[in-house]
Amino acid sequence: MPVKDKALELRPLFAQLGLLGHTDGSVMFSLGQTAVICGVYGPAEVKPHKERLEGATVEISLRPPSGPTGLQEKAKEAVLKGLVESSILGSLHPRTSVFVSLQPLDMDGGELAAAVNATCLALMDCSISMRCLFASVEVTRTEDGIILLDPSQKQATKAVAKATFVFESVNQDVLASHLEGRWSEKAFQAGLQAALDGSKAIFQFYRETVKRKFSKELMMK
Amino acid sequence: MRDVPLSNLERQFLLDALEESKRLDGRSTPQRRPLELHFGRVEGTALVSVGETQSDHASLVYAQASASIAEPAVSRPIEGMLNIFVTYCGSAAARFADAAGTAGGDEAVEVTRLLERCLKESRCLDLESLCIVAEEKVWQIRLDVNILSAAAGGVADAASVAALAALAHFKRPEVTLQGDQVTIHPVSERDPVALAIHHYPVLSTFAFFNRQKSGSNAEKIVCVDPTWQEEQVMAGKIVFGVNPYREICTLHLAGQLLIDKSVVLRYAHVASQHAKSVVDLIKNQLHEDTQKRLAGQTEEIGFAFAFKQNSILQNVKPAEMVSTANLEHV
Repeated sequence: MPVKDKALELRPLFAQLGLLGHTDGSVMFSLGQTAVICGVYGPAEVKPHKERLEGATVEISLRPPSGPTGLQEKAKEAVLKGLVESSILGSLHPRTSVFVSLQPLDMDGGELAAAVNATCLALMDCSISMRCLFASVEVTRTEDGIILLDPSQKQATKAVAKATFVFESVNQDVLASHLEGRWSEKAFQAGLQAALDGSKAIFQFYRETVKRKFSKELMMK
Repeated sequence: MRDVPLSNLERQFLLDALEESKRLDGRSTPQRRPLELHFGRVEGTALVSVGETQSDHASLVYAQASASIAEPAVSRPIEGMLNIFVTYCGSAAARFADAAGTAGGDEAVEVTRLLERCLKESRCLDLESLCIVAEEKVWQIRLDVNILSAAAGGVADAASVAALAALAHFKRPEVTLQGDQVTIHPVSERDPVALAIHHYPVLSTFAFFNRQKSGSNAEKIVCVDPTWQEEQVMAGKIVFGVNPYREICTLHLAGQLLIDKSVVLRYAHVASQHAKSVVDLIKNQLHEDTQKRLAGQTEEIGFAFAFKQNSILQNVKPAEMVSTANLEHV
């Protein structure tokens, strides 16, 4: 069965850096219609009972667009905490805290992926030292075995399995994966490959975004 | 995390400048910051920014309205319910950067109460039209107001615009009654229905400052739409909730202030003019949004599109075919 035309298309990307003037780093990021605002403070002061001698204390706060914070949000916060801790050079900033706050505005498929990408862009806007960047894409698999890359909510209605992969920029290793539903090994490998290709486009987007931000300063030299 | 405190020098400078009717951001005392309103893709979502975004003087508020079915209150069996929840996101200001999510503390309570008085107690939303089956089922409208950026002040004013816009934009599922049978139609079957709003009360904040040279009985300096620093330095404030018909729905006086009733009436008039311009803004944006939805321009709906401008801090990338992997039938 041939793969559908739009199956391997990454939706339009949008990022606006520095949206919140008072934070150290912030971004409004959207993947198609899935939009999220992320603000980062750090490295900043930390409460004495939370301070760590080995490095920065990372705290994540993710709020749903409506309703009280639930388990879904806590699960995403745990994924993000691991990602941020492994990618920032926390050991350069012992006894400080890095606080990441996320507020999704619209959820149209790929919410975890959008949150991850927004976090990375906000950390870049904050200019915190990082050992690698990270990017994430969601893939879904339908009953017929068709793999969709970065589907919208409407496109994902027929999905029987979903997977969100997070890749790092240096060696393209997998930093995190979050699976729902049943994935055969063959389907998993195909989904992983599709997500990897999608993440390359996102890393390119990061590069272009930061280059644009400093374009005026670079020009003056 | 602690906010950067306001130094005594800054306080004094602010007060000295106000003596000459000068404000730190260059506005005149009766001048408000520009207000921008954007609707989202989902019906009932609104994003309001006060002041230029990206500057230190901007506030950002996001509101979402949603509906669920619940039993009505015993005392009001034929009325629906409106519940307002205000939370400050961790990114709103350094003082809210706490993973425990205390949701804002005193400031959130003040804004919640102001919004409740302005929207709930003024009965601007027709609650009887939200009744499905008397004493059994009514629509419960939940209004979530998330303060994304509060460092610049003006949160109550922005929140009231966002809350009203969200209510005006929201559509609840259509319900039909056939004898005892209640059918709630999904959006795919029947178009959802807008809420019935009688009038549009809008909050407007005025900060009062004592003159330094003359006594406290002298005429005070008044600033419309105070910034956070101005709020730290003011003697007191009045928050009006007025609708464009010049009906005062809310009056809140805070701080150490003694004012004459003529002052209250004078500024209520100013607040009602602001209410009129806000309601015009909401109606225009709503009209544009409806046109776009009717024309099927789904790419131009939503927050991502609304924020597009020609700025080096922005980057846009169109949809792209990325994978060259040959994905066979798996």
